[in-house]
Amino acid sequence: MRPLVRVERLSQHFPLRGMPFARQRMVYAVDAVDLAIERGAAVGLIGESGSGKTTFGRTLLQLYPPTGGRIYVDGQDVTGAHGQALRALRRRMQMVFQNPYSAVNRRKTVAEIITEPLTIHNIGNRTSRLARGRELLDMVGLPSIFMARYPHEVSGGQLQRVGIARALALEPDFIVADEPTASLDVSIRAQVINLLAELRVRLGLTLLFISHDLSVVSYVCERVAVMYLGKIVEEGLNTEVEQHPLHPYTRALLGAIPRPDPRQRRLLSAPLGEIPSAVDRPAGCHYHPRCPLAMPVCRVTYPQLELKAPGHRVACHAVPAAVDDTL
Amino acid sequence: MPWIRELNDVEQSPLLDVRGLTTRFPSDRGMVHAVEDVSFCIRPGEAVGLVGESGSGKSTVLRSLLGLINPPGRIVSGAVMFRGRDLRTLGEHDLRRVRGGQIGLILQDPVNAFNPSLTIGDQLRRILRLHRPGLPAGGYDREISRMLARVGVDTAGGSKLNQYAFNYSQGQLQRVMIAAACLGGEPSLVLADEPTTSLDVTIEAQVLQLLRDLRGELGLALLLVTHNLALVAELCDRVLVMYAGRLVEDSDVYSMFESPKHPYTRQLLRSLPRFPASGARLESMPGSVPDLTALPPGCSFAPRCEQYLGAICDTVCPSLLATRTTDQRAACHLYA
Amino acid sequence: MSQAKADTTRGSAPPTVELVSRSLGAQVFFRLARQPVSMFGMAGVLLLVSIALLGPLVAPYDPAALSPERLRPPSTAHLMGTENFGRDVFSRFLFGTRVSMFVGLGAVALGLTAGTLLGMTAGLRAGRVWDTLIMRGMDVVLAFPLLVLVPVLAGILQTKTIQIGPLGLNSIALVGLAIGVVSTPVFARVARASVLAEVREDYIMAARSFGAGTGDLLFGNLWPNIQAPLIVQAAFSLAIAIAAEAAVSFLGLGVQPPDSSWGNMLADARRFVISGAWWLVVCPAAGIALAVLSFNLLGDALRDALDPRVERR
Repeated sequence: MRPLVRVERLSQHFPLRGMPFARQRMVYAVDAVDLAIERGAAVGLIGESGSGKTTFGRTLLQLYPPTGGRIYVDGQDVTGAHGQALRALRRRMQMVFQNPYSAVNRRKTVAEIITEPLTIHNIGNRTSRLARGRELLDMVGLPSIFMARYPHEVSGGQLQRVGIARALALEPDFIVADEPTASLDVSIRAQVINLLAELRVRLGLTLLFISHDLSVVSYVCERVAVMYLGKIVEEGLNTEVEQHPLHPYTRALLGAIPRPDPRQRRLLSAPLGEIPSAVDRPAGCHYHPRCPLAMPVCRVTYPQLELKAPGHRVACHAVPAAVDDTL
Repeated sequence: MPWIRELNDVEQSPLLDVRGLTTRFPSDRGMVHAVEDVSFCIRPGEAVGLVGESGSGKSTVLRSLLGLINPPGRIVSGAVMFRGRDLRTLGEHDLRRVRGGQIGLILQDPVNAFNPSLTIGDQLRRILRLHRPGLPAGGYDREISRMLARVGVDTAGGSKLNQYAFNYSQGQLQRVMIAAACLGGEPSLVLADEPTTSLDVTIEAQVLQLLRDLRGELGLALLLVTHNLALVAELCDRVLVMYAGRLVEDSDVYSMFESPKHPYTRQLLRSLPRFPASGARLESMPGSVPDLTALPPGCSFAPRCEQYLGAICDTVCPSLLATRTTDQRAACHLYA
Repeated sequence: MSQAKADTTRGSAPPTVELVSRSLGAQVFFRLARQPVSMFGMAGVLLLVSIALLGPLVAPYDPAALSPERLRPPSTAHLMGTENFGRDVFSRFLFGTRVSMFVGLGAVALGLTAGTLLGMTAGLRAGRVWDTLIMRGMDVVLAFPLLVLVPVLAGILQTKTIQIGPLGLNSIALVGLAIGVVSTPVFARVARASVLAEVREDYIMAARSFGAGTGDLLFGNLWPNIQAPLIVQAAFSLAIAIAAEAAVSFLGLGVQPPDSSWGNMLADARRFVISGAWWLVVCPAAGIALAVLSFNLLGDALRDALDPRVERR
């Protein structure tokens, strides 16, 4: 079964403008990432700031042209697509943004916002587009009176649904949701999470859910990948990663999440220090300065992302390699 | 923290006693009732979490306590009794001595809380000069280094003090702010407005642990304003829940999470994504937060409430009433 | 679907239903209407525009009509007296208002159009060749003082009527053209800065993500959002343009006789005011003052009205 979307050594390196004659410094926002997403699957991508998860999402959709690696959609290499090919590709891959207020043109009505993709691709006429707009609003649970509203007249949660409706306008196969609930009120998050989960099943969508919040991701996705400083350090089934985290960073991350239950108060295990900058990364394994399991080899060689357990890949020298040959 | 409870038994009089606080802002669309008739107490050494979503009024409450409301908004009525004195009667000059002195303040975004044109050392010195006039002139830097070391910021023998905010990382800046708030003026109460919202999870955990340690060491009372219920569970002894400008629940933290009394709190807890995922659907709350310029005469939560009782909920606004559990109060007609 | 229809609530309809959906124009108008200061600005502008449009139709005399009644003070026959050629001052003022307003509006229209196009292009190509070329070109124009550039342009083009194809450019049009050229850089800067600010926003990336091309981005998305600062700048530039025309005409380098404008009326008056002919100065000076004040007030009010973040009482 061919994955719908697959990336191979995908990279996004931004040059930092420094002194004219000094060595060019790069921001390794995304560094040689391999990831495959099956058709109909929902994969979560978690990480903190500087992990590169947002940049990854945008590079995947080629909103930033990748500086390295390849992107395959349905087995076809689409890296560097432009012109008509790119337009066609855009119809299949859409994005839902974090902040609903900045993701829509504040001078347009909801109707115009939702039907803009249709207008750009010259699909149908005005009447049919408006009809499709109402249909989309219904799909996300908003009444059609919202068509004439402006973004500032609509609440954050409602506007995020408008963003989702817009992403569905072109009937895409693949949606990248970039922190869709981060700027919403707590009581509204559940609505949007449920909506995404439901739409995914109903429309057979393939989803990449980017978030810093593992608890949100685990409600929508079956697989999860953890990013640190531009690289994936652990990837596997949701339940696997949560219950048996193998990479020290994942363990620290999970241990640091506060629990909404005072009886479970414990010393929050926070890793020492802070996330280094994506420019001057530590040599070898990027996590080694903060890692309790750091060994000499960690300072020198970057560990490859390898299968260490069934369906569970980890990039760490300290995790024993899979013993079973059938993996 | 068992010894804090003992302290409470000895000193029963509250450190902070807020009575009937009401703050409003005129706007294009009408008068925004940001805070309506909010009353609560904080005992010495107690950590109280003030939770709510956007529009609940929690940040406005915090700012009202220190008189930091900018016109055209104003505090319409209420008293803020701190150690027996009504802060609302103090002039700006006296209030300034309280702010940062007896009451510390931790703000949300550490990066923007500091003046980018002054060194961190300069800013901290100013704070100390204002609130600790007793220190000898040369002692400031030593004291600052001690403070920062206490919160885990290495000043490299004082040289880091001559650097600017942008040389510090986000986590370091938040610690500096905590140092300034908790150690600068030797306060008895610290107000924290979403102190970890803009921080990464791992930094948040560090800051949380730091706050716990400092509280334990210094016996500080804390008012933590946040929308993150998990944070409250980790850090606080009591919880105040706000909705649309009013206080709807006042409860001991264990009791609140175990059996929340107000329907809003109940529904909110049920809609929280739990980690690890329970696998079931999340129970979402219908509707959205009401418009603060057009609040209904009755209970503001009525349109979304699962335990709607009928006409009384739409016409009469419930006040905080005692429930069967002694340390829990909820503003709901269920308990009338 | 029932779960997703989570927005319907029991009881009263959600408050947002009562809000009338207003477009930008309506919002701005309502906000403007609240401030007494902005009302004054709007009233002043309306007054001047009405005089410019209707004045010449109700002028009691032909502004170029010579008469033997020279330098007469105001009377019932001549509301603002006569000037040194016996022409009725009031009529000249009415016609002059049309000229001055026309020049001002024309100049700003030209500057706005050219400046916006250039600024938007520079903004989209920020950091690259075209951006540098355009903006440095604008800097060159800005380097020349208005009172030097306008006469030079006018002089080069000759102060007589010039034929460009079927169009005849007389001195009025030339002054307008010159001031327009000089106003262009400020609009280019405003447009460029606005484009730079907007281009970073997510909604532009969103538009690209569903395949929008440069045209869609420019006109469908960017243009509506950069209108606000440009409109505000237009109001301020109008004040400057009118004052500029007055200055240039006063120096004799702008609008030429027999056409009257506020500026050249003042130029004519200069020689005679000392001997007591005060009525020659009142109308044009009042016109200039009112115009500059009104447009500035309007600009201020527009800026506040168009800024969603400004707190209002």
